[in-house]
Amino acid sequence: MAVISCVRLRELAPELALGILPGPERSDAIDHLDACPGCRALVDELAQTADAVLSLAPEVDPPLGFESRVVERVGARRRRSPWYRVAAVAAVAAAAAGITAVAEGAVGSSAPVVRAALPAHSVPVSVARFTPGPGQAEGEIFVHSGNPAWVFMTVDASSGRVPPGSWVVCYLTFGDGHTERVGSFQLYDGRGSWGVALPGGTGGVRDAVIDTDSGQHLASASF
Amino acid sequence: MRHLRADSALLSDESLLAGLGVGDPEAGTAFVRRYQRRVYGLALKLVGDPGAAEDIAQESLVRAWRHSQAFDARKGSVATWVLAITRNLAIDALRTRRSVPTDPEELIELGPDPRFQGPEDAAVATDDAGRLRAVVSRLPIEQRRALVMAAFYGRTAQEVSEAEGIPLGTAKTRIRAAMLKLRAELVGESSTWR
Repeated sequence: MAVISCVRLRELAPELALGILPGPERSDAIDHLDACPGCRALVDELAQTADAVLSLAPEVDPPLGFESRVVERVGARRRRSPWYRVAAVAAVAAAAAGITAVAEGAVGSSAPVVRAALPAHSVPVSVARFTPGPGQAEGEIFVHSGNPAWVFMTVDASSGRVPPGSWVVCYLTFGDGHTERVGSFQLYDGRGSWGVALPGGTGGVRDAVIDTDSGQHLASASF
Repeated sequence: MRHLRADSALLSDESLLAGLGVGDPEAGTAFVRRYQRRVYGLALKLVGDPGAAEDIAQESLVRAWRHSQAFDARKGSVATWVLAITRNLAIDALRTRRSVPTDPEELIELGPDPRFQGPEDAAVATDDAGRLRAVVSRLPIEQRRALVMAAFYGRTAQEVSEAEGIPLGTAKTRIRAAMLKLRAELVGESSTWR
């Protein structure tokens, strides 16, 4: 990991703020931000700029009944029973093509459920514990390298180093050597769990990194 | 009890969000009405499919409603917070479906605001969106394309260079130049960073 200057950070800042900076450069930039309030202020301004650009998309009336459907969904979520989290994990474990992502708002004891959801002849699930970074996040990551392949993780970043509603971005380095941003999810009260189907033919997952969308490194894991 | 129904249109974004936080259903309905066009509009432009856009828009508003306490006023406005949720969900959906937008200029119209007739009218746009639109309209087209690909679709500089057929360094320069110009407009000349 290289130590970079403020001049170099300024070159990387727009990409970092947009969330598109590749892994090694992102790590170097985050290390610099942890010790440089001035550069962190720049990145924060650029992140606000990136978000403000989204407001330029034209407004469009949604389909009829949209408002009532949203209101109904919020009411349904409030009535959801705890067993839904179990069903959600099982859904990820049995993912077919087309699944998007499953996100829940609290850390749960998902490991036993994941194993129970798999057929006896399937590829085993690999489990690794996250090593906390500056963001002091803990948790576990589960990877199933079969077909379909998927990853699921539980994250606890409630130590206070990051805002409790932060967005978490997950980067995976695969066995074929390439690193990819596989998705993002939001923490609720500093905690969250999330899973997604993975592309096939990549040789499994080698490393996992989770950062906030503003570039703070939360944790990493290796398999 | 506050008569929110009569006053909801006058409440600030932050006040509505506070109402969501305490479970006020009228605040929730007002919140959806205030943002649904922007959220659905962004989702539709990004994913192109009305059905998928509605799913994304619904999920965005549900998440914002459910987790209104997560909003951090130091990081921007309520509108940008909600739209960022929408963008993140749309990007995830696009990656899952392996969808690739063909031409950012076709998908996002970031030219001059049709309300204005010419550059002199851009000065009338005093709100952030109007000022940003004016700056974006003055960007060289290659910077505008790079900005859209990065900011809206989460494309890396490498992906922009491949899509545009340009060197990686050129892609980085275009993204950086566009972002710094927009930041200067939003933050003002008082910043010490160039």
